[in-house]
Amino acid sequence: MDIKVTSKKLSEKVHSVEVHGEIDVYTSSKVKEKIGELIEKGIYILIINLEEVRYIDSTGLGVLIGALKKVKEHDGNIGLICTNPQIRKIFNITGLVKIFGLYKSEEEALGKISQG
Amino acid sequence: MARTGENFINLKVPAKPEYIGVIRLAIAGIADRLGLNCESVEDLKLSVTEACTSIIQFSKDPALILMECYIEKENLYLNISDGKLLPKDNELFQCGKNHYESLTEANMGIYLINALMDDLHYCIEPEKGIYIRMVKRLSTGEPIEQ
Repeated sequence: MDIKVTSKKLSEKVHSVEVHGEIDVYTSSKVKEKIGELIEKGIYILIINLEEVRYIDSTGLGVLIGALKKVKEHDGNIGLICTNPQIRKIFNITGLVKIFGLYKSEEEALGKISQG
Repeated sequence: MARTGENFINLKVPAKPEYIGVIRLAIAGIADRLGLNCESVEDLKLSVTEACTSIIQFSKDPALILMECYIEKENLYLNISDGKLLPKDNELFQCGKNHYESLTEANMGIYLINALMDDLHYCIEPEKGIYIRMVKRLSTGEPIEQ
């Protein structure tokens, strides 16, 4: 159950984080660490790509919520790229769909987040 | 209640985060064996993982995670515990549909299990132990006995 987390600079203020694998209590710290590094560097607009995430649980959601709280303190935002119906279902059940933008592509996320 | 029989599965792993994936694989295998559809398999994987995560996060010095799984009257019963607590039925707490007025990060696991499974009873007492019983109704499952 390995996880791979990488980041990419999209513009001066916007970075993307790509996650591959399963996010649970064992692996969520790696996601938290990578997002934390970017926030520490002053990157407050993040697009997190969950397209290659096969599974996410409440600890993974907790990491995303924690990151969103931090970037919001700096007027930032987080957009999630996610088309997996099972993962979207979890965001719907928990109501997190109301606080995170869920997008189908990086382009769509960039467009919406830049406006907001 | 101790149960035996051909449809009884008992799995015991160390209460460490790295073993939760093992339990997840096991329940996926069991669900597949039962012929459940993809969505139900994913629901079971998440519910079982959330129960195991509760033990790792909230139980005081847990050594083990125990998963008991059996099929009875077309219902799949799953008991997940840290092995410290074997509560009587009337000591288990049941979630209502509106049990949580607000969803927090701490109660999100139980909230998800409650949303995804057909029945949930639990006892979470960090000092004494954690015991979570959940039921998934199979296609034509009979009403779940409380």
